[in-house]
Amino acid sequence: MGAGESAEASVRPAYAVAADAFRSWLDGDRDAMTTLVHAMNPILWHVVRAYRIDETTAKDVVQETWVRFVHGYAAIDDPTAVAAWLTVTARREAWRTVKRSDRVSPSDLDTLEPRLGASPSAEDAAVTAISSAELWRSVLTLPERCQRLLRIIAFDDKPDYRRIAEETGMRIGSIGPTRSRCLDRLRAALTAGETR
Amino acid sequence: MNSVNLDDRHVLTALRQMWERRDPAPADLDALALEAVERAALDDELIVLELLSETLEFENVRGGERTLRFVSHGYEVLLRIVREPDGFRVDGWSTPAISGVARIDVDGRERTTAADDVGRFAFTGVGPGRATVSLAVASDSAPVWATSSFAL
Repeated sequence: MGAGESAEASVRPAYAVAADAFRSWLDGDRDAMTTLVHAMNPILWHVVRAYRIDETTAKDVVQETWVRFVHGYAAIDDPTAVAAWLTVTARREAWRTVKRSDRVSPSDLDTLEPRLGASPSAEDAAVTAISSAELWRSVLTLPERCQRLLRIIAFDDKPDYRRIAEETGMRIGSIGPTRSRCLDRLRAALTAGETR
Repeated sequence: MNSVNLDDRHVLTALRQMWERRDPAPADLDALALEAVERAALDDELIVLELLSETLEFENVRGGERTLRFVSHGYEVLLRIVREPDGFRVDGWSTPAISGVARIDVDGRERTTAADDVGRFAFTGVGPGRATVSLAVASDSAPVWATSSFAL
């Protein structure tokens, strides 16, 4: 799994795949858990890594999210909410981890290199046509808070602004404007890069 | 990049794809998650039974006392079992409190008693035999929780 399957995932939103898998699992289809994990793990990964948590700890946080799911799935009244529930839980666990320890590598994101073997598909290129390298350089010019917020929003179909506010120390009313400002700054950086 | 669409949706899609390429979820993450699910499910199904204390005074009137602790599905139930002349006395306490009806089954013979609003209940003159205790919110409802069997 991983980035190589993003094109497949984009065919149907992950939250819809997750909702169907969760329903099947509740109906007794044990194999549906594999589908649910497969649909949600890439999203959970990025949500957790947005907190600049190192890879090993991020794996632990994702696993802990699933443990919480097993103990708490009965509280999910509406199966279509399973993706949101998992995403919020992953963010809460990531935030707890950040607060609890200093196992966060501040330079981790800055030194990330593209992974070979996860090369962009033709579809990816067609969809964006924004140079990945240029985008990355532009992201790095943004304040850390913008980087985190954009990464969360990029992977969270229905972000919970109240919780993001709690975790980022921003006022809830400021998240919408901050999101717009961060995107504007990114656009400005991309445009500046284009004219360089 | 003059022709590149930089509206929010396109930029967020591009960001998503960029992060997917730069920092993909590790190849073993699904396997690790599924293992975690299996382990957690097993923990949930397993009733942990612990003998917390035991005093054996075989010939005394109060011929011994022991405390059992059962933990599963988020509940903890303590049972204090005392041998009395007319059988066993079982005092129980559930946390979080399950108030309603406590039922004890000893070799197929069933007795019920009220569990109060802090989850306490007591049976007297039961046993000997293999027993299970179950807790329900009402006499006609399915048990919320049950112990594994233990000896009286």
